[in-house]
Amino acid sequence: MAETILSNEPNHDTSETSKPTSKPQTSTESKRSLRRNRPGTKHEDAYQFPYISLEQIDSAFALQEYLQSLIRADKDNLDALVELPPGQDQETWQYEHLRQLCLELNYLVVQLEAECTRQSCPEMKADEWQYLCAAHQAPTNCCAIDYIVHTLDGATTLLNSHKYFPSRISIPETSLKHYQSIARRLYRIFAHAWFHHREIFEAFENENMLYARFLKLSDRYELIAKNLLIIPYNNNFDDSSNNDNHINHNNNCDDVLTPSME
Amino acid sequence: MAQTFGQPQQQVQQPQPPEYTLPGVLHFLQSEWRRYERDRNEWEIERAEMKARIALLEGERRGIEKMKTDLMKRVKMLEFALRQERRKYLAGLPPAGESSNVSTPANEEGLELPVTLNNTQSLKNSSTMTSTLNSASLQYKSLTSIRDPNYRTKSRELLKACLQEIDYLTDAATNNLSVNNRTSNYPSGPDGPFSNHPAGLDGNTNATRKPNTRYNSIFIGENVNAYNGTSPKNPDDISIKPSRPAPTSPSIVSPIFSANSSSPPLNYPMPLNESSNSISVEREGRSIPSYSRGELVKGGRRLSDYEQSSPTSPEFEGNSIVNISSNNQSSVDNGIIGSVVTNGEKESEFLSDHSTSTTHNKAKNEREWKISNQVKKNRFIKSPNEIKEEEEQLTKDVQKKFGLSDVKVKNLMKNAKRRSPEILASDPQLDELSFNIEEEESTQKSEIDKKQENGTDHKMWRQRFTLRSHLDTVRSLSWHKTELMFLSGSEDGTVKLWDLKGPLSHKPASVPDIEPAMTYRGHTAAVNSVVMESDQRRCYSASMDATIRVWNFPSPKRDTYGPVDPSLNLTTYIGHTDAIWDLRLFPVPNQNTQLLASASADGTVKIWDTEAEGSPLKCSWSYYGVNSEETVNGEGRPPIPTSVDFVHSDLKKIAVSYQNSIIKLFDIKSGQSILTFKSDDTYDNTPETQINRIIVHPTMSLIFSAHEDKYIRFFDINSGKCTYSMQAHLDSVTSLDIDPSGMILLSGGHDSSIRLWDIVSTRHCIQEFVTHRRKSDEGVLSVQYHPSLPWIASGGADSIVKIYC
Repeated sequence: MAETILSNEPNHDTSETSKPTSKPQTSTESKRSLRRNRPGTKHEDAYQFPYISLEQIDSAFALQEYLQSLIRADKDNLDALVELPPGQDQETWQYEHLRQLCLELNYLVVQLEAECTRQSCPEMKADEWQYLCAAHQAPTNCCAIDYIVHTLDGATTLLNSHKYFPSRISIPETSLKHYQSIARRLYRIFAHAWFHHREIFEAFENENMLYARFLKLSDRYELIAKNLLIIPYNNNFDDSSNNDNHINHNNNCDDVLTPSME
Repeated sequence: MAQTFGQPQQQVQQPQPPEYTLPGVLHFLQSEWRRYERDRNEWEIERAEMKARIALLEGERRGIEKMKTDLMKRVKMLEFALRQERRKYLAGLPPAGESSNVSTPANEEGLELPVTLNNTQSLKNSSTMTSTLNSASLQYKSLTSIRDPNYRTKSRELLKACLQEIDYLTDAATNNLSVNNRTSNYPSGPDGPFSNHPAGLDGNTNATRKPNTRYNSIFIGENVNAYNGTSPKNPDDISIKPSRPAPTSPSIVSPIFSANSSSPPLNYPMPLNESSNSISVEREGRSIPSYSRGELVKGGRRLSDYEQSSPTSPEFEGNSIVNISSNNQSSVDNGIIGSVVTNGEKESEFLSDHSTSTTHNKAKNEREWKISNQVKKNRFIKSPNEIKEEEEQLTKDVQKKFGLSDVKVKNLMKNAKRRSPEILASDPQLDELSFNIEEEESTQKSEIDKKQENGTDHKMWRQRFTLRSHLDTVRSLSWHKTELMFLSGSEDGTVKLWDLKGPLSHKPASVPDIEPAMTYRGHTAAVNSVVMESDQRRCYSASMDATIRVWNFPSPKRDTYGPVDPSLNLTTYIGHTDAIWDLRLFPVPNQNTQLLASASADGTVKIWDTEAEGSPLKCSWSYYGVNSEETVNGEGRPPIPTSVDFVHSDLKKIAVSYQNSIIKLFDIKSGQSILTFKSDDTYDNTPETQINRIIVHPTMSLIFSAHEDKYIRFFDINSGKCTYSMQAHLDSVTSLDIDPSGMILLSGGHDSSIRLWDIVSTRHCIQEFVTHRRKSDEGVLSVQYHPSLPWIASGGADSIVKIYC
């Protein structure tokens, strides 16, 4: 499998270079290898699709594919990841980012589940804030792992909701407000991990750069109010000494956030 | 004789003439006994018939009652909506509504039902003012005329919506009824008690037979109506129907018997079927209204039949019903298609005649029918949308009834289906309602389909649910054995458990976004395959991360947002060293063992015993078998397995497909290679011609393979020879499943289409639907039949799971 793909590689390159001249995909379809993971594909070979530009992706999920290909190509180039592709809608781009965020947060939750239990973290806390779970009729004081899972499930459901996001091509004006509440709540998952499960957080972050990307995204598109960013900004994972300076206590906007008594 | 028994004869002679001979007495006793026996027989027959009749009537009553409550509910709802709307309007415009402000609410409260319903009529259809409730509507009309025209147009809009809603409701109700009736009729109808009787039932049984024959004839008439859908514009009808003299018993019997003899309605006048079918196909536009009329008449007729319940004039009724059926029959004979509007009006008049003769209570009921009658009339004048919907239904009915599976009808079906969503999208308010009712209909239909399904006519699948919750390509699905639950595995790394019982019961309101009952997180990479073991109440999922995870079902009481339960993650099978691509469970559940087979990109197939105490791994082998792993020639790695399936006809064997397009049979216990199929006809040494999936037929010794180069191939298990090969899709075939009866092969491909294949006789495509969208050159990745219920699930690269029924 690996050999065959490798042997195909030169072909892609030639087709890549010849592509601008022959734009329609159908003509080059036979030449380029298909972007699919066939049964039997090895883990290391999966998603090893040749890079193609956004204009060349001919599907209803072009933005998602493009974003995923960017992430696979270079996780660390945050600016390139977050920057709006030319000619694209800012709202749909943010939407795809949020979807991808939820998708990848699944893997952080998998790591957290090993350590974060009802016993270890009976309340959803980050630093000295305590959060109430908004997935229920009335905000509930779920334990941390419940809060994390519920929040992630709720965000996933909301992003998939036919009512609020009927299309991935254009987002209704009225649904844009959900971006901020989704981002704010997902941020708390990071915050909890950072404050209470630092090792997991750092291992995960080293591998995926997910938090850095998220921060960049919320910074670029103003998804989260600055004063809610309780993880020290520009944090160097090796030294967390100066975090107190950055914590902002004058929070007033959040309904499900209550300062703990400690 | 007289001489031999001279002596005793004389003695007996005094009371009676000398007939008291022994043979005479014996003969008398015998004949008498025979007569009693016959009577007894007849009584028993009568009893059985009466029982059947009671059951039928009770069923009808229940149906009508349900319908009535539904209607009342809807009326109440509409009333409320109307009142709200008025209040809103009046609040907005205080000076204009000053006078009406006082009078309207009072009026509303007083008249309730008549006002709303009648009002719709009077506004809609001023030509049909013959209704008995005219006065009320006039009252209201004068009321509305006081207000400014602006309001009137507004309320007219509102009422139009109301009317259409009522329309849909009544439509659904009649359908409901007809379904009830049909199902209850089938067992007791032609195969009922009377078909077993000898013909020797003479004249005096006629009376006992009457009720029975009556509903029998209804049944026939209904069927004729249902699929002819046309009846002539026959001027004689008017005079014949009401004034026809009550016929003598022979004459009533004869049409019934003739009908009875041909009572399996499907093969009625066989040669005519074709022609009438083609007519209805050609002239759908015209025949549809008459169809709905036929249905309506049928409903109304049955109602009146039920209300009278045989006290007054059963003969008259029976007669009129027979009349209808014969009427329609003649229309078929002549092949005439005519407008049936006049006919329909006649019917309603006829009905109203009935209603005046019945008591007040019944009259009220009847009135409802009349209203719906008129609503129907409005419908087919006004709304082409619904005509089209009915058209679709009609085609379906025609197709079903005639057992036609020809391409023409199918194409029509497809067209109708394609058109319907556009139509439905036209009016959002209408959309919601109609969609739901359509859904209800489709469930009812699927029940009928299941009953009527035979070799030639297949169920036509329709999309029922769209499940959005995965964030990336859905790679695998697996149904619960008996319940409406299934598992989905996705490239987003999660496995989701879905329960469709809740959404299924969601009838009135639009189905909300369906959330999974459970999301299993644990894999650290894409999930490639999932299977559900209903008896163990467990799920197995295999992932790119080289592990198989075992999950318990959550407790049935668990809320979607219930607490996290880490104990649901039972265990993880570690053994493979690369992505796992296929999982299959041993088809026959055993008390002590439940085997699970997995195929991995590390080149091995492994068998796991899921009930084992210690290590679950039982056996593992590569392409060349269990022992010959080292004897691989210099080429490097052996071919990688892509799919596995247990051989149902010989449970010691397992079939494995490989990336080099070869299928091999192995012995499960020893891991020895038994047979290598010649399945690599089109293999060109690249994965672009590999086999993506194989499935073994549950009963026949056949294996089906889905190839990356668009082929589906059939192989004989015993010989390993390819028996059939076809280019099945426009792009790679990714997924296969076989329906529980073993007649139909289901396939999905990267061209995002799902196709059904007749694998028993024609090997042609029966149905195709395109419901998924492509993402990164992938389309449909999983298709699954429910093992015991008429449902299909499909998962695609668009992260969506769709459910069909």
